Amino acid sequence: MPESDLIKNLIDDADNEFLCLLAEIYFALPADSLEAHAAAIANELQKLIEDRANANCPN
Amino acid sequence: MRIVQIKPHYFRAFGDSPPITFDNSLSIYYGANGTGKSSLAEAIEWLIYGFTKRRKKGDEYSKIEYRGSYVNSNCPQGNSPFVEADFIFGDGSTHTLRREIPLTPGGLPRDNESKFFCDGTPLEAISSLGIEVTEAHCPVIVQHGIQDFIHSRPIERYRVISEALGLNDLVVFKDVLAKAKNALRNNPSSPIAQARELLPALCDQLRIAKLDEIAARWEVSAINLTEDFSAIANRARELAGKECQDFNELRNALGIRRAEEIAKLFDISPYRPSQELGHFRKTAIVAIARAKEINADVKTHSEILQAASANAEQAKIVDFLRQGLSLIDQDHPEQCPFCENASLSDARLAVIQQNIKDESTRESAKESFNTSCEELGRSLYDLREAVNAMKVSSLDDANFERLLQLSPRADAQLRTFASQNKAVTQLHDSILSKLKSHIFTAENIKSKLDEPEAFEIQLAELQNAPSELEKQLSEFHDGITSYLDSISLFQATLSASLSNQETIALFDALLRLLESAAHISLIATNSDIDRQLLEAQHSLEYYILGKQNEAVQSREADILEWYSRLSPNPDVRFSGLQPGRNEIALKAEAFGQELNAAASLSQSQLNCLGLSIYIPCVTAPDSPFEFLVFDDPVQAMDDDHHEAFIVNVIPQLIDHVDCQVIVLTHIKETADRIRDCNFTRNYTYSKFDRLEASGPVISENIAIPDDMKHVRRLAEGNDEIRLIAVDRIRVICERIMREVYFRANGSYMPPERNTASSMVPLFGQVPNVTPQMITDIQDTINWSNPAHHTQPGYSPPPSANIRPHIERLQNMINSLGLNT
Repeated sequence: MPESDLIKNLIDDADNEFLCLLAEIYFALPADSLEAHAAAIANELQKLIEDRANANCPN
Repeated sequence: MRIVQIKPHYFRAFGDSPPITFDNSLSIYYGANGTGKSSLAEAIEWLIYGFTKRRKKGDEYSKIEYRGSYVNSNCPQGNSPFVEADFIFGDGSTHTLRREIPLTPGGLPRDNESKFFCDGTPLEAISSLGIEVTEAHCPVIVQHGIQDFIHSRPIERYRVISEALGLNDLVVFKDVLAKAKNALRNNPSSPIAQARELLPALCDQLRIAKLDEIAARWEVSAINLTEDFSAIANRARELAGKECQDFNELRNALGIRRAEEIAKLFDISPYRPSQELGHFRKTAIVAIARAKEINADVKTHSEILQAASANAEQAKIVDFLRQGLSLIDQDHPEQCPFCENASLSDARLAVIQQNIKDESTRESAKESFNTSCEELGRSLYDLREAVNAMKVSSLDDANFERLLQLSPRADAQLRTFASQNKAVTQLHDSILSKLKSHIFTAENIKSKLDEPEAFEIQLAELQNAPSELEKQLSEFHDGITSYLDSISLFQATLSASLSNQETIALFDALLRLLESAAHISLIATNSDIDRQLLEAQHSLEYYILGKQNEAVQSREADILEWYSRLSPNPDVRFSGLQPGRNEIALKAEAFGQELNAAASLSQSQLNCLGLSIYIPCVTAPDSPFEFLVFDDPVQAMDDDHHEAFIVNVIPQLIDHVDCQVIVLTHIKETADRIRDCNFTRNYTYSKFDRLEASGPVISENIAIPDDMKHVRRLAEGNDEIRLIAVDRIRVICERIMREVYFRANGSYMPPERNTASSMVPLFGQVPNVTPQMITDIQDTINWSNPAHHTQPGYSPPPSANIRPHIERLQNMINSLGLNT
């Protein structure tokens, strides 16, 4: 699925930066089903949340 | 690309089957359900793409159920299933493409993977040949795909049409994002879940800190991380009374201020030792060990001294003699300086000198003894300092009552604390008293050298002191350990009681809020990512919408054109596609009124609509394929649409699109009709006879004699079957006339001659057709006219009435040489 030129084009064309980031994550993920991809993206997003939360934590 | 031949090997229904060859224009296959037709279609699809849509969809439901479904169940272990086919490429070159299923080390096929080859060379995919293959161009149109299109909700149809328009990957990505968002919302990571659990309590703390506006927002997870924590920090700074560099410093400052406030209510710090217990233990062990070591020296020196003290008188004489020796006249060394007699013999002089030497040794031992005692004193002094540092105040009755008032619910804890305080302070005082006494003895024992009894007592005291102290300190250590536990327990309860005091509660609230920064940051970031994800989803929907509009605009005219070929009713018809964010509306027109196509069109029309969308995708100019496989394409069609598909679509594909067509159907009449309508074109006509363990049995080139055999069987059937026999006889009439005309003229009968009766005049013009044959065939055509079937009282003719017509046609076939 992710080898698609459509996704590559989306990464190049989309105005929404976060969408581009998601498409890049999707493009790079090895998974063989929709569910596996969704779970992998959710996992990546959780890491992103934790990283950003740490970086932005008021101190 | 056109397909020349294919060899599926243990793929789906196929075993070690022979290759199947396709005609360059039209290949027709019919066969009952379950004889392997769809396996042929899937073999082509899998060879090109490495997967089939059917399997892909099945995997979405259950991977386990569909696992291994590409592999024929009779595939011998160690045998790699494959599909191999020869294709003529656009440049005229012929290539053999092959895809095979790899084996596990144990020799079992691993059918979720495949290896692709072109002319024996391994390639990653067909795209490595410079051929861009997309799912939209898939040359295999299967009935279940069309059925999905017909019987689906708008969102599902959106997917099907998007797939047909070549936008499937984007739609799948959209679905992936939707599922990922749900997973994030419904199954947050444990840190986020924990942070959310804390949130209501933190809102309460905000209210205590008089930050109600922030609390109201946090209750609905509307967190403005920077501004909110700036407000919290400002409030904390006001309370701490100082500027701080960061939250750590601020928390420390608040902690100190809180302790001060607590101390105003009751200062418990005097009841705790000022020194760490661990440090005390270490210091005490070192001091005791040192004292024991020094004590050994004290003992040694004391023994020498005790021996010397017994001759204290002699010491005075030796001092006298030492003075005398200094007065001896060196010219008369035998002369005693005191009695002035020559009494100092050499022997006497040697005795005197030995006595002087002994005295010197005694003096030295005394000095060492004194030094050791001083050192022992210092060691004990150090120990006393360490013990002093462990001093705790004694809890008097007044303070006990005060504590009871402040923390009434901690009565039992307070009593334990008080009792242990008493025990520890008493033991502490006792140890200090002992130490004071031992230090005094160590400092003063030297003055008792001349008092042997007193010296003995004091020496014994010092010798025993380290061991006694060691024992007492061990008791003290155990006692203070439990005492510290009890005071900590009580202090926690006291602190909780004091937290209810407004000032302390405010400190606690701000401390907790500052400590919660990481949790709140997590919740805020989670909300932010959730919002960004939602925006990204909307952005993707609009992106897909744009792509759909582009695709529809470029293909809508083609879709409408194919639809008009398939659906001849001009009054009620499909009129176009209208893409939306989550659905693609199908527009229809009925007698000039615009309607929703899904609700208004018949299933048959929707079936045609499905084909109208798929066909132009495959035949689009950017598609590399010049062939199209229809797997049972007319299942849901009524007679008119069925006929339109055969008469208008297939010839159009072959003649005008230059597309090789392969039709697989389970309806013999459909196959026959396709064959009859394409009589003027090159075609092959084959039958999937049956499915055996070794694969489908396919008989090639079914001709008129086969039809005759078939109709003979039908003629002996029941009413319903005999009615079919009558229809087939009419079809055979048409086939005979077409075949005879073609053989005579070398060209095909004109398409407008598409009914049996309209063919008779041209049939009659063929030289070897006799007038009797014309009469006979016209008679049989009239007899088999389907119009009779609807007449009142019509019943299918008995077998005896059918047989003469069959025999008549058989004679004609024999005479005209059509039986080969």
